[in-house]
Amino acid sequence: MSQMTSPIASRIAGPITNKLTNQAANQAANQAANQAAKQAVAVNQAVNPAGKQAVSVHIITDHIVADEFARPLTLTVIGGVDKDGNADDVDEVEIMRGEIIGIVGPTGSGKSTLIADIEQFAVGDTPSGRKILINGHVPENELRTDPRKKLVAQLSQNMHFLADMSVVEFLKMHAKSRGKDPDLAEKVILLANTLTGEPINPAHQLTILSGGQSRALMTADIAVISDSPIVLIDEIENAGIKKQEALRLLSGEGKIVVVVTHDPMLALMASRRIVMKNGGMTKVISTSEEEQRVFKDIEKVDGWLTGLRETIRQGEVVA
Amino acid sequence: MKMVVVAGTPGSGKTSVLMHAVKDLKKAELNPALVKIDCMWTEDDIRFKRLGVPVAVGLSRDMCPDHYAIYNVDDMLQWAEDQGADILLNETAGLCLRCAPYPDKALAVCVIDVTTGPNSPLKVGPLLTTADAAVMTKGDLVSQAEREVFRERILEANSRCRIIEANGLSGKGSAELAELIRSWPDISGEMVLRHNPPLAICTLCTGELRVSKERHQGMLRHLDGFMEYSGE
Repeated sequence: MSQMTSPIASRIAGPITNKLTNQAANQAANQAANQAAKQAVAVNQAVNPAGKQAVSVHIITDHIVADEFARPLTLTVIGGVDKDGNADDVDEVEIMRGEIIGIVGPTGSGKSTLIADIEQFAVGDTPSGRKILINGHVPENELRTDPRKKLVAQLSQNMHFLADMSVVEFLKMHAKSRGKDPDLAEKVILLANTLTGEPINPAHQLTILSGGQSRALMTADIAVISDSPIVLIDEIENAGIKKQEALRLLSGEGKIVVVVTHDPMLALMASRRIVMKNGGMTKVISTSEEEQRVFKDIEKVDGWLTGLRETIRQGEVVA
Repeated sequence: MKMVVVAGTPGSGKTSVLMHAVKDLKKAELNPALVKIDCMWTEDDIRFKRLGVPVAVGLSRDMCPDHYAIYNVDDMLQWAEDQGADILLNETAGLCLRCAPYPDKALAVCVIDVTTGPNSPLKVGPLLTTADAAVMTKGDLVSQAEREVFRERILEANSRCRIIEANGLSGKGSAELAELIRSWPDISGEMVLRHNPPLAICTLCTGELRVSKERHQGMLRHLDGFMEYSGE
């Protein structure tokens, strides 16, 4: 994932002045820089509680150029207010590249609102008053809105399609909106069909897809087309698809992954989790060693349950 | 005086988006006054009055609501000035999509509902193609991919417009819209429309109720696209 490592890399390799006009030179520089970055990562790597490697390098940038925003290193949530206007107990959460962070709390506690704040890079202009920083700075406006530059891919709970288009037509249009090759559509469908029971036919209308098929399609779309360095996932466990596989696909290497979840396994896969209550961020819990042991047990139980589910789905008898 | 014309299909969220923008404008110590144009009936003025800004309602009744809005621009501006306002916000009824009641020097805002599907930006016509800003509403009801496809379709219809993703319930996007309004230049001199209204004037316009074809005269267009003048 060269695009993830290059912010550190470009610093080590020396400044890259003009990305758009000098792409070939950039590629060479990135390659050289990636080598250096890998070393830097190796030196600084730390194993987080869920066993994932997290990069603990934090580069503080003095001046802001679009290049650095294109491959962010840190995402910072600056606290705002809860539903009653009281300040968040958590002032600030800084999330590093390669980290999976959970958001937990009862329904209605403000988990989706927090995700929405991150998705739109809130600058105190949402009801929560929270601010989102990238590499310690307020992102430029076009990074918030232009899908071609967007840093965030989001898998939301709303997965019913309203677009009256065929699956392949829609995906081609989406690739175009993200400035990607429309031929990626085929790849998305192939990948989606590894996650869902009944395969998706590219020629079918989007509106007839089942809930599970829609989620599978959007998961694959994020992995292939939206491929952004920050991934937001809202309750993937309700999707009726293979949740662990989906999370693995979405998280990729070196991405920042924020997962809203009620699922113990997904919550413990995260290295930390933000606890929400009444719209506010009340605390941040780091996954303890004891919890990691529990995670191993849950994983076994989940594997067993998944197997049973498949057996029943296939019309077979549980032995 | 600044002028903002907010158009969009009924139910697209014009009023909700404007309500939030009005709050933001007031926070910035500006004095908006609002004229709501509708055809038969509206209660939106009660919602706006709660915000403590001057509100007037214009009901077009037997006149086309967009023609009515255009015809009354001078009176609306005078009224806003009498209220001590520095911004006239004009919310249109927005029905037939053929007229775009945008004077050239006003900020033209088209509010468009994402749940109408990605083909709708192509159907809206001059209401969108001549707008300065397109405000996308109800994006929380669809996936990010669908929002992005919708956005692409808006740009296909009007590549110059500024797109604002808004949510009439949470107030998302209203700060951006308020900032755009704040930075828009004042109106001055004679204003002209950005797009011509439909050419038709026919017997239906003057009250003919009988349906059959031979009853109608004027500028008429047939189903096959043939356009003719029939009459004296």
